Amino acid sequence: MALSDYLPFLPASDSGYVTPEGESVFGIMAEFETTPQAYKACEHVRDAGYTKWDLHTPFPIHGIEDAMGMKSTILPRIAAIGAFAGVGIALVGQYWITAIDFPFVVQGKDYWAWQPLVPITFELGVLLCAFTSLFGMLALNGLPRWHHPLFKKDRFLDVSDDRFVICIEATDKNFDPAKTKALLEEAGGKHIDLVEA
Amino acid sequence: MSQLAANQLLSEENINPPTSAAARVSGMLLGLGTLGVAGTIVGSFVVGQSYAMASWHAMAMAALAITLGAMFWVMIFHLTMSGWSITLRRQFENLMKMMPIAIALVAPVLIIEIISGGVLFKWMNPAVTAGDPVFASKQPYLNIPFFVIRWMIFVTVWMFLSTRLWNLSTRQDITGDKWLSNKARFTSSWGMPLFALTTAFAAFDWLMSLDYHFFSTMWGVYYFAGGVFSSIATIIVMLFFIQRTGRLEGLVTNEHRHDLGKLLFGFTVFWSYIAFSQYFLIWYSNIPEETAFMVLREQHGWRYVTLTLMWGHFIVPFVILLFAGIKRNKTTLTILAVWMLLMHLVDLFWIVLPNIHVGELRTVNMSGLWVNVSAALGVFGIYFGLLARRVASGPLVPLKDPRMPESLHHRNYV
Repeated sequence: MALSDYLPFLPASDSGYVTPEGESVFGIMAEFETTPQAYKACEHVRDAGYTKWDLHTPFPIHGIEDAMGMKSTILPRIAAIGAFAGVGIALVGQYWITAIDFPFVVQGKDYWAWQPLVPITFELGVLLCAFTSLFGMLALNGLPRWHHPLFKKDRFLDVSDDRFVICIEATDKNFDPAKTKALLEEAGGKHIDLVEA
Repeated sequence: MSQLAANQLLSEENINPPTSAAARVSGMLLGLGTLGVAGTIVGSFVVGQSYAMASWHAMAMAALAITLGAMFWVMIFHLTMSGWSITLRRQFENLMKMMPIAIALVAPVLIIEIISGGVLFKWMNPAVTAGDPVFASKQPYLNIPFFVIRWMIFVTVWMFLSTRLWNLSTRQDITGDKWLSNKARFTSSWGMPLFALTTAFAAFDWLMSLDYHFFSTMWGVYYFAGGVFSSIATIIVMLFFIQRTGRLEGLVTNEHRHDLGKLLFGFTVFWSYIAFSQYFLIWYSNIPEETAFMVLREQHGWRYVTLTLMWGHFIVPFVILLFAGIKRNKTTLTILAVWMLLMHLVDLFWIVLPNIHVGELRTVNMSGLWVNVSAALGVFGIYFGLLARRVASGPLVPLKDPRMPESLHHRNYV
């Protein structure tokens, strides 16, 4: 997910592979006709050590995350950082205002009473946790975006109907046009094609 | 269904009751329980009758909260048609079916109170309440005949609901009739509001009225919150011991444990939220009848118990339970569950004990600590001893529940 995906006027980042004709390449796509074929192919690609690739399907497939070797997300950790930052900011900010900067008697309570700080602390913790969850999720999956190179391929549109498409990206460290194509052929893929960036 | 019968996980040795182990555990626990009862009775002569009775009452109410919490979960599972919990539900039902025991454990103190005219429940003593304008306004509610009528209503509702839900579930074990699930769901739909009202009013009657000047509309929810999370903790501990006997392997997995851990986490936060809301409003509004309750618990050593609850019941478990790895590990989750159960007992002691005088002060009585321990052993020795027998009385899962496959394939995708 490059910054240029969001800001189209920026120069596009290096795609990782350029054809002899000078066409920069997003990746290689291969089609599969049935769920078991796609599932097996995923295991094949996973075992070959690729990390930057995806399977596109018309419907969710149970257990596909294992076949694809997907790791669990780091989003919870990001959200936790947001939550605890919120708690910290709220506690320090309120305490500094009410007890140090501008001590003011409210309802005869102590300046340094911790009780009134709790609701704000809770709310700011929840707020920043929610924000980091939402925006962290968007940053990690690269949504929303204007366009995707795969949309240029007419055959790709079939994945919303009855096809399964695996696309291995050119920025993957194992990517090699000949070897990757051979791998996808070996995995049973049809209509293997380079996708322009 | 035929596919299910062939499932390896549901083989006889994986789900048959652990009879011999349960008999051993139950014998040991009942022995401890007897010792605890004896200790409490000795304590009532050595330390003081009111102190021993208060300790017993706190522990019996803790056991009742766990039982009611389990009934809440069974009804919630039926209402939400939850699939993941099916392999756990029989343990919740076992806990729910402890209802007569829990009611019987609470009964002695209430009966002694009514006969003796109020040692703990001082409003039962006309000499104490004479000329008290605060009590005069509460008298239409707080009087012994109405108290007994409400008691009978609670017992009827709880016994009816727990027996009916249990019977529907065990009948399905035999007949496999999937419509029994719908009947249980219907029962839960009207049972839930009845449960909510009876639990709240039982908490008002048996805990809040110990200090009859005090009032908090949050009280019913507070007691409920304690019961709901401590029943989850009890289930986690039960599953640990059942799996020690080599049963439920593959039926209750780390995926189920993860969800139990999440519920334990969620309701620990819920309890804290309720407890703080109650405290916060009392602290802010500063009305004498209400603040007396909190002021008392900030003085005479009760302050340390309050702080123990704050840290041990909320902050520390909150941070620990945030980690998925801890919830997905049998050992760490069980250790935390035991800790949360202990905190639940401390919570109930914190509610009941400051209401009684020790000498002139309502202070923490360190020399009476052994009576508290005896009461806890007495109540929970009997309670868990009989629970072990109940677990061993039938299959460990609802055998023919239509949603069983869902539970077998349950995953959290983390």
